This record gives sequence, C-alpha cells and structure tokens, in this order.
Amino acid sequence: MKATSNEQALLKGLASNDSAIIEQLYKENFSTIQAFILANNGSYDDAKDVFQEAMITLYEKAQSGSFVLTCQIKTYVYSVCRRLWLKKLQQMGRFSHPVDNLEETISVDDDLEQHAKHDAAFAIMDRALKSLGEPCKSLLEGYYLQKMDMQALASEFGYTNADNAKNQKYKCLMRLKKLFFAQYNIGE
Amino acid sequence: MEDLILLETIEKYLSNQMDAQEKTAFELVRKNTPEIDQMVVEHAMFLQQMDQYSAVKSIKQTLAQTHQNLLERGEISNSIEVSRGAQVIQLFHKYKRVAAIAASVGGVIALFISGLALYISPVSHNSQIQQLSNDIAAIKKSQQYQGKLINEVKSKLPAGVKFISGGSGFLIDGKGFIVTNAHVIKGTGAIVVDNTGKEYVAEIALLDKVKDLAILTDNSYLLNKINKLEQQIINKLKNK
Repeated sequence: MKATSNEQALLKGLASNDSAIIEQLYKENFSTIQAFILANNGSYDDAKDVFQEAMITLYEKAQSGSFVLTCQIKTYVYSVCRRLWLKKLQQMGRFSHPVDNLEETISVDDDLEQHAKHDAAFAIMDRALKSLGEPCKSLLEGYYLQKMDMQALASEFGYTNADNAKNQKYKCLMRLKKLFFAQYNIGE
Repeated sequence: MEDLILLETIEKYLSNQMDAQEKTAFELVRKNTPEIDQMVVEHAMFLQQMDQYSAVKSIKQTLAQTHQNLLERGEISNSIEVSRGAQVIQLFHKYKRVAAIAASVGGVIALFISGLALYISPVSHNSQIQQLSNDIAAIKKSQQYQGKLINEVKSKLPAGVKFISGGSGFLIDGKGFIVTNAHVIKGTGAIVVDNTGKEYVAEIALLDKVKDLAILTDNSYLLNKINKLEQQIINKLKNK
C-alpha cells in the first residue's frame, strides 16, 4: 500500500511540528494503540508513552526529506508500537505469549534501531544539559533551542552587555560539549 | 580565552556568517591545521545534535500538549473502559465457538429433560373424570326429583299433624262410616285416603279396644261420593 498524497501532507506537517496536523494524527491513531496496549498487559500510561515514542520515530523519519512511507501511517504507527511494546514486555519479564495481532504490520526493525540511537543521543544531551546547572543550561537553551539573539539573552539574564553574555555562553558551550562527548563516544 | 575565540570563529563559519574573504582565510587555516579541522567537524556534529535535541524536545512538547488537549476535549479516553470493551470483544472472539457448543449442549439437555418429564409424569384419566361428572349430574337430578317429592308430601300434610301409624279400612255404609282395626288408630283423628288417592280428614266415631275395631266417620265428602255411587247404581238399574 502506497501512502496517498494526503498522508504525505500529514508527514510533512509532522516534520514541521504543525500542531494541527499532529493533533489529527493523534486523534486518528491513539485509540487503536491504546486498545492494543491495554489488551496486552499495559496501562493507560504505557499506551501514552509507547504511542508518543512511535510518533517521534515517525517524526525522525519524516524529517529526512527523501523519506517516502511505503505503507499507511496507521500501519506504520501500529507496527512501531507493537514492536516497542513487545520489547518492553520482554524487558519487564511479563511476556508470556505472542501478543494478539489486531492489524497488519510491517517490519520496522531498522527504523527502530535508528530511533534507539537518536534516543540515546537525546538522553545524553538531556543529561548533559541538566548536569550543567544554571544559568548555563537556560543560556544555552535560549540561544540554541529558542534561537534568541545575544542582546535579548543578555537583558533576560541580566548581563551588562551582549559580549559578556556571549563569552559566558561559549564557556557554557565548551563545558556542555565536554560532558556530551564524554558520554556520546562511549554510547557510539 | 583562545579556545573561546576559536569556538566563536568556528560557529560563525558553520552558520555561514562569514564574508567570502574571512571564509577563504579560515578554510586555509582548516586545511593546514588538522586540530582545527577536527574541531570544526566535531562542532558541526555537536550543533547537529543540538538541533536534533531541540527538534525532538519541541515535538515531545507538542505531543504532550496535544494529548492533554484531546483528553480535555474528551476525544481520547484515559480510562481503562476501552480495554474492558476491547477485552470483552476479544474474549468473545476467542471463546465464541466454545460458548456456542456449550449453549447447544445446554439446549439439547433442556429438551431431553422436558421430554423425559413429559414421558414419566402420570397420564390424566380424562374418560374417568368425564364419567364421574356424568354420575354426579345424575345424582343431582335424582336428588332434585326427590326434593320435589318431599315438598309435595309436605304440602299435602296439614300443618301441625304428626304421622304416627297407618292401616287399612272399609266403607261399611252409605253414610260414610269406615271400619278399621283399633290398634291402627292412635291419637285423636285420622286421614283417610280413597282408591283414587284423594285425602280427607275423618273423625273417630267409635273405638273398641277389646274387639280391636274402630269406626271412622266423614260427614261431607265421603257422603257425596257415596251418593254419586248410589245414583250410578240406580241409573244402571233403570237402564235395564
């Protein structure tokens, strides 16, 4: 089954973090996943976590411009969730019998492997930022995540001028890089 | 401090903020100094990681917000009701064959037992009941008839009269005297019944207990009857 042009539009919306389209995807797919998780030893929170992780996997794929989905989004999300949940059940030692298959599935192992790598990097960055402490963390987040300019950052954090803020930012950045690469290399 | 300037320069280079002259100069430095080249690659990688981190973080926020919104609007459910429904449906699918077999076994047993009960239970004696009701009807009829007779007798007896005894007697002359045995007369009067079944009251004229004879008399009716008889006899004689 080829993804329709409508589904391609949805993927584009997801890649650009369009909240209306994400809401549509959420509405169309969450109940199925919820029913699947709940029917297989899971809770409502498990369903939420697994579904959101699957959405992030799809987002990562959609972000690479050349990506074309070879099946329906619904099938893809279900396949990813199923795989993720099976893994989690195995980790918890609760896995006793093959989980009932409610929908058709496709193989998503490669995508999940890729996602696991991204997820690991994300976790390392998250930890590194957190262990950086304030005001470094907020300063870097302001500059690199929220893309604020140095002048705005300087006034927000109370630096006397943008140059001081910039110097401080670079010091913080060097510490962050050290923290990140110390773990990221091991992770690789 | 040198590191900071270097870092700033690399970042400026990577974000394309250098003019052409600066860029050419820097690329030359990069080429000749492997350490700086390595730093550029490393920093490019790091910035990419930062971008990725930023993107995933914001998509996570969007997802969490979307979830919250949908939950508040009731378009998704946080209860496990869904699971119960789904579970029931799944169980139904899983066990529908077993349930069908159980149901049909139950049905067959029910039919068998009701058949057995019908077979064993005593047959009702319809004909006998019919006959019994017929008999009762007959008894009712005869009882009604008897009741009628009793009423007739009652109406014929004068009120206050007590029947004590009875016997036979004979007319002995035209004036209405009847002779009978004395022992059959008890009390103070008698009712005489003639051959046609008519009754009338007679008085005791004479009672001789020694000879066991009694003479009864009726002064009106008997006399009439006897007179009629006499007339008939006279007529017959005349005709001869």
